[in-house]
Amino acid sequence: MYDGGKIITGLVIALAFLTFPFWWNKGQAAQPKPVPVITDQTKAMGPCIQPKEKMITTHMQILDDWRNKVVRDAQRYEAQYAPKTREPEMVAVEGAIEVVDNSLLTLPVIGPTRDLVSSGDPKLNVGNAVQIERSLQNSCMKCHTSKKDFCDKCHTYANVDPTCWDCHVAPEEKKQ
Amino acid sequence: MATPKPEILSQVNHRPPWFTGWMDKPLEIKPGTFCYAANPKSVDYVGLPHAHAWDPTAEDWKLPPDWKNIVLNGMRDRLKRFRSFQLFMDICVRCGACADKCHFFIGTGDPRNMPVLRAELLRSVYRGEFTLAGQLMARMVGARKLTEKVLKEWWYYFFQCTECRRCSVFCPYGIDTAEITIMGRELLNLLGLNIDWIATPVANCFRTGNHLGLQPHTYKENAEFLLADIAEYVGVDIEPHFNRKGAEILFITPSGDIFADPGIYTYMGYMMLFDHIGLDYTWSTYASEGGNFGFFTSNEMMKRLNAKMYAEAKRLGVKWILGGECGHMWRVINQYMDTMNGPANFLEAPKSPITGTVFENARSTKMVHISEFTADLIRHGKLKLDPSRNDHLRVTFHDSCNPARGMGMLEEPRYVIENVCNHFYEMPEGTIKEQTFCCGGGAGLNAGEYDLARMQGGMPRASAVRYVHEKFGVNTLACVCAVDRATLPPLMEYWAPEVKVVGVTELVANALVMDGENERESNLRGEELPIEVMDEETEE
Amino acid sequence: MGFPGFVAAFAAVIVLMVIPLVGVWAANMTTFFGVVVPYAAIAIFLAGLVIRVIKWGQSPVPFRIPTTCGQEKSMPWIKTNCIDNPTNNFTVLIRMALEILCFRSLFRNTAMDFREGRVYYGSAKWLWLFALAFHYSFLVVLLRHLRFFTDPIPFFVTLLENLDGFFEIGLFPFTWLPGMMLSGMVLLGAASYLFLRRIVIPQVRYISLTNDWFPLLLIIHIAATGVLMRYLIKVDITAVKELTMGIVTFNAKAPEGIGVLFYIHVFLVGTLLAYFPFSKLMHAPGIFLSPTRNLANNSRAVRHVNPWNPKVKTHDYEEYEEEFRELMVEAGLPVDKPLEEGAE
Repeated sequence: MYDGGKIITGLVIALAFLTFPFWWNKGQAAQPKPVPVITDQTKAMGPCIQPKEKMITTHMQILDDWRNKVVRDAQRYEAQYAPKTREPEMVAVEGAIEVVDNSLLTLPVIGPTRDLVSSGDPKLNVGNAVQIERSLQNSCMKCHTSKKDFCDKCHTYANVDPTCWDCHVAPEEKKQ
Repeated sequence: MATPKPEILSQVNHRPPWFTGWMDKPLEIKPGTFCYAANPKSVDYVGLPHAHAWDPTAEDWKLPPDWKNIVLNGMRDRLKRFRSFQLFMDICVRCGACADKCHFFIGTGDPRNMPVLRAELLRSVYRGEFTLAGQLMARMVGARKLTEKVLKEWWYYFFQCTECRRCSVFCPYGIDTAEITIMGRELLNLLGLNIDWIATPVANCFRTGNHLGLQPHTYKENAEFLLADIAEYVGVDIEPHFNRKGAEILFITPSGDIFADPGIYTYMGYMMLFDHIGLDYTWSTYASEGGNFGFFTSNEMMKRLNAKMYAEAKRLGVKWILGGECGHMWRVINQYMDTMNGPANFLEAPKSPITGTVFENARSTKMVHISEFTADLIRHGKLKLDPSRNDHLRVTFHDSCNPARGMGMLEEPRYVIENVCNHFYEMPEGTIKEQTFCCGGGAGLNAGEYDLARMQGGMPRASAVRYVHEKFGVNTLACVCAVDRATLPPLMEYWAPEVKVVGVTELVANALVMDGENERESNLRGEELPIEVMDEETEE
Repeated sequence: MGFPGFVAAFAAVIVLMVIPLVGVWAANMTTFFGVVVPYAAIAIFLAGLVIRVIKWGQSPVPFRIPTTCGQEKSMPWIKTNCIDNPTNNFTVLIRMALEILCFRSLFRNTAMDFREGRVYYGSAKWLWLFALAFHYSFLVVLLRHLRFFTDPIPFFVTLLENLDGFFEIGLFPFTWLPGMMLSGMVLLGAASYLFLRRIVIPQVRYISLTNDWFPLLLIIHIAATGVLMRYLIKVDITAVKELTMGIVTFNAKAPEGIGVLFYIHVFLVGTLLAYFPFSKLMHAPGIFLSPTRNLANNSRAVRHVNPWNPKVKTHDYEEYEEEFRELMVEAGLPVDKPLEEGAE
């Protein structure tokens, strides 16, 4: 007894499952990855709080960290030392970031890990750091004004469904 | 060499070493744990290749010059013929679930008795000789070449496996070490490397129709001796039928039961039972063997011996075949006979002439197990029984490996026992039914010179019996297997001396109220029935 | 062999991680490691799998040899265990489904305890539990990866992601894990258990070969690099998807700017795929073909046919009677041919 028919059927089914991505996307041209739109208006508002490459891979952790700190610990602001590349006059978000002591610029920029505001560090008032409001709406979306053209571009592509908008209200999309 | 005392054999170390691999472990062929080499005359009689005299303990096994090619070609051929073999060579993940399931590993602690390693003995050669990775990386992937040492290892360990299939119950892929052992033994037989306890019964069975080599007249005489005993103890004269044409049913049972204590009492039981119900049946001196040691030699040899059953049924013109109590006999009948020697269209679907029950489960093979048959008789109230005659017995039941795991006959014998005995106790879970333990001497390993290994291999079974003996006072171990009836008595004597071994049909016969019988003062063994104890117990 | 086998397997996995590290970092061979290796691995995997299974199929099943693990079907008044002793295709299907989906045989596992010459049996479900956890979490992880290989993404992938991340564990010590996926952690944990038991249990250590350690270590490292990429050493997911989508639409080119960790991950996965058909990992298709599980125990009711059923020399009754006729007649046994004249 060979049961050849059953084996072949089984193999065909197995192959159908294993090659699922190949036939599911059949006839589709390869698409380059989507690029989130950064408008001239956004550019004019100055650099982001972190370099672009860093933001691409870790923005979700920054936001998650922000949420925890704001919601759980009521630490709404953080100070960030301005990177060397960033000129003081390019600081953008009005009222949210202030220029402080220049001598602190030598510290490494590793991300939103230290909270000088809440620790009441006196140096904050005299140094060259920036204070950032930990807020998706008040900070991020001030520059990146379109959720559709910025956030959703990649999130849809990579099937990411962040919980941000469960609570936050996305800015109204401007008609183009 | 005398077998050491139980206290010594109870000391078993199950922890293999940390750093040395099993391939580096030297092979030690210890007295008491191997069976004598096959008598070349027996091998030659059935025309199996390379019959020669050799000594397992000697350095030189007198192999033919091209032995390596013979074995490798044999492997190649069997990989193509048996999917089980090919598959089981490829898919083992060595999870170790089988390791502590083998009675020989539990009893000896020899790591090569773990089913997984027993199979690796063969698998390593498969990898080394048949796969690219094995040829390139050898030891890295557990591969090795076929050498004389490997061959000796095969011989030693494939004749230290009783093909009981307990490991295959637990294997997540159903890998059956019995299949591996069967293949291993087939390969060894290509070089004439059988054991005599298998080869000579095979030759006997081929010639005389039974393993013991009883010639027709002797077979009949033996039966007549047993009938005389029945006349003495029961007071009933029974006329036997041999080779009778036109009988309705041909009855076949292992020849061990006509020859040796305690199997003979089961044999007497058959004759009494059939007389009691007035069955139109016959014995055959030609097909006078239920067992099939060809099964332990090669599938071809199994077929050659098994062919007699249908041939004789056809010659005698019976309607169907009834089979006696035996283990591997029923694996062969249930899983091989019809395929090998069928279809038996000249027979009819088995129908009990007493109850009218048609045994649908055997409608193609046309062979029914005596326990199925008896259970049906009892169910229909066709037997006059006095179970109190067995009241001095506290009975437990040993499931034989093959009816349990190669057939699934679990409840029928229990039903019979519970109707002929009042005191029945099960051994613990995990040691009965599909998880039953081997008697230690199955698959042709019941040789006297193999005593030590049998006591070790039978230890898990004996341990469970000892447990019910201590807990419930069990003094009787019932079984439905002729090999059990040969192996269990010495095993019990060694590990649980207070427990006697009986066949289920012997229990039936002792409880059977025959027409015209004497007041029973003794059982079929001529042992007086303890009347007083009986009374006390019935009052309870 | 045994423990030394572990050392060899571990060394092999380290080498497999160093190769893409050097190749991508030092030589920037992103096309080779991002495109060539995946295609080669997929081709070897699929072709190897098919060839191997067909090879199995070419060997027949000469005999019907199910391992019966329950009461047979005999008389109607005896309750049949139709799952462990199936008698028809439907009950075989149930047995196989339970075997493949629930690891039923492994669930039976017992542990022997040997004390003072007595054998005791205890329940031993850990292997079953972790094996099940391992396989299912691996399956979930694989299915979740479809988000890199499909566009549009099928609903079940999203559903699975939502379920998998349901707990949104973000408390200590996982504060660095926004939206932790349970399956990845379970996979890593279960694989580690399977690995540790190979070291700790003496019998299993003794039987373990290099090719037992190797796939386990490989999978542990695949899971670990994946977990690292998700939570710690991040890579550009959209760039990754550009590459993976290119692969499944046969238009692959490696984009700039994917971290080297990704290439290590991919190289290990490629190794696993290419290794699969030549290894014990074939137990996955193998279980479907296992004759002790996938056959009904009905060979007494329905004849099973052996395609190579050999013609054999038997000893027929005539030969038997020829040899013993005289003795048979003397003993009063019936014979087919009477004794020849003058033989008396």
